[in-house]
Amino acid sequence: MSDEPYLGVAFCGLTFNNPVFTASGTFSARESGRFYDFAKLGAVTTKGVSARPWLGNNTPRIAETRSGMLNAIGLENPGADRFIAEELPFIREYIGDSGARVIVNVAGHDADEYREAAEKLDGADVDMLELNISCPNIREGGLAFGADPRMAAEVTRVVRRVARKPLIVKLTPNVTDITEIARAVESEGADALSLINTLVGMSIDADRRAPLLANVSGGLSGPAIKPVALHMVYRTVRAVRIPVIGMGGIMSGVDAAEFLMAGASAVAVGTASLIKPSAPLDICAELETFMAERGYANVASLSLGTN
Amino acid sequence: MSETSARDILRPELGDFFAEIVRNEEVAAYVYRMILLINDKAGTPYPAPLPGQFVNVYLNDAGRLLPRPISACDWSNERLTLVFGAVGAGTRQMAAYAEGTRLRVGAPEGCGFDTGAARGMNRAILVGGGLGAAPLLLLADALRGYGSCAVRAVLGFGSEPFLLREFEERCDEVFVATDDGSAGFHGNAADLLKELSVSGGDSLFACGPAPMLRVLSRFAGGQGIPLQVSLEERMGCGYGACLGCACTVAGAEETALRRRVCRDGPVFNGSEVIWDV
Ligand SMILES: Cc1cc2nc3c(=O)[nH]c(=O)nc-3n(C[C@H](O)[C@H](O)[C@H](O)COP(=O)(O)OP(=O)(O)OC[C@H]3O[C@@H](n4cnc5c(N)ncnc54)[C@H](O)[C@@H]3O)c2cc1C
Ligand SMILES: Cc1cc2nc3c(=O)[nH]c(=O)nc-3n(C[C@H](O)[C@H](O)[C@H](O)COP(=O)(O)O)c2cc1C
Ligand code: FES
Repeated sequence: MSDEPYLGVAFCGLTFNNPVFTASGTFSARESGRFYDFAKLGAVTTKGVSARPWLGNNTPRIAETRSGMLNAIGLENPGADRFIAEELPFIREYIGDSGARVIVNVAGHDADEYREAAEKLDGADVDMLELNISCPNIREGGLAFGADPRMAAEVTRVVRRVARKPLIVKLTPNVTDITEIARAVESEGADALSLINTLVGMSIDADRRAPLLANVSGGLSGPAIKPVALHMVYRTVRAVRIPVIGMGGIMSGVDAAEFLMAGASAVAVGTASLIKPSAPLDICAELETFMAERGYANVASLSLGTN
Repeated sequence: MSETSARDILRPELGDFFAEIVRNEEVAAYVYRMILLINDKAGTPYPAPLPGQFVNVYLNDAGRLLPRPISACDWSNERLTLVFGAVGAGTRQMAAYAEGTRLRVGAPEGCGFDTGAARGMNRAILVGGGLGAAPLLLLADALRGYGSCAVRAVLGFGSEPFLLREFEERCDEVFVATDDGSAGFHGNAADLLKELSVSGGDSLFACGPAPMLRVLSRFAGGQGIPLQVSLEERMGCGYGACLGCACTVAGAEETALRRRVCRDGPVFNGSEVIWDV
């Protein structure tokens, strides 16, 4: 075993302390911060934020499934103004000058709402915007944009016009060919991609003979989706020039390493942090151990290479 | 921004603890009492649970990942008692765990009962429906210290009562109802409560099925008596991060607001909960 591996990464003109981020909707500064020091992560990604407050869906919003879970939160959030006034200063104060980055996940029902939210959030103290065109749990917007190359390109163009910060577009796996969407948003100026969001599914409560989720359908996440996510990351990395943040079922440092091997520039941890609150930081430590034990000097050296 | 700085919230001692099951026994049909001995973590003892708080129990099962929220029922000498129903795959698994099995558990979570509300009241009435009795035991314990305030428990069961001896030790009066009339009053806990009548100076604390809590909140509202209810909802994280466990409360100017059962609750004022969302 040689020197300690170097975990820092750089893309979109930004440096990151390490390639482990939180996945949107599974991190809350006030709550996650009770369990681990999130300033030690490469970046934190917030819950989806819309121009105005959203109440989200009725309950039940959660169903456990084999090695996974369904959620249908419906993007409940306090709206951009309150997010900027109350949540963001708290995150900033917490991370101080640690170098951790703040990515804000942007939600909307239509192109206008995406633009309005992006405009407000771009002007706030965040490092990157992550455009969520892949939420399966809202009736309009969300997935409707992410599943159609023309609409995905359109909303990216609209937001690109108002966003000066680096723009990540978050893609849905609920499509025939994810690389087609990836190329469409790349051509409209996306600086990076996040994938995957959740896979649409449902649960039926056999005792009650009724759908379990109030919303009927929800988004599947957790270890059950990892092979799908890994393959989509692998293919997308080879179809675009922009960096890819990989996620979907990462539960351990080895899982994270596999996404980096597939070619992801960074990874995000979602469901694992619901099951173990300190998971993102634990996974970061496990990744470092894995790299040290196998003699990987840096993150780039994990990648399989793209040719 | 809050008075405490952002950094002050970091309390790694809140992370997961490992517990050993020292006892796991059936106390009524499909109802189990599990006693956990919880190890210190790097010298930090497990925090004593407050009445109405719950614990996230993680199963030893890589296929069933989410925590099972179970109320703290009793606590002494680093031993945590949980009383749970074997109602689904996860709790059936918990029922089958042998003594000596190790489990991962979270620190006590959530905002429990406001015992201060009983201060200066004549009488605290604890209303439990089925497994809703579980968190009321720790509450009875806390209220016993309130001197002048009498503690009455009104407990409803399907057919077979449990925890009665423990409640009798800690309450001034215990009344029992069963759905099938096999013991005590024939009916549910809410019906029995109405039968016994309440008066000004009473303060109600309730846990049980949502329909029972809804009836109670109407009743308490009509009588002008304060009521705290402990709610149940399906959870994702069980610690406030995922917004899976929403309940709806009345905000100012007739707006509806979402609250998290796991973190803002599980205990809420009966009068603020909007039951028919
Ligand atoms: C704050 C709180 C305190 C609780 N305290 C107790 C207690 O002291 N004793 C007790 O017997 N039960 C208690 N419950 C209910 C208990 O959590 C469920 O019975 C249990 O999670 C069912 O798990 P399962 O694996 O057997 O059911 P499954 O149906 O197999 O579980 C599938 C998923 O649904 C969730 N789930 C299913 N039913 C419920 C429910 N009623 N409430 C919340 N989540 C549910 C499970 O946690 C799991 O994630 C409490 C619930 C809450 C919210
Ligand atoms: C409870 C929950 C809430 C989520 N909320 C959002 C969200 O607001 N915006 C978003 O882009 N993705 C959201 N996601 C998707 C995750 O960020 C992630 O893409 C997905 O869950 C796959 O990763 P995982 O298997 O590690 O969870 C959510 C996922 C979960 C489980
Ligand atoms: S269960 Fe995640 S916020 Fe309550």
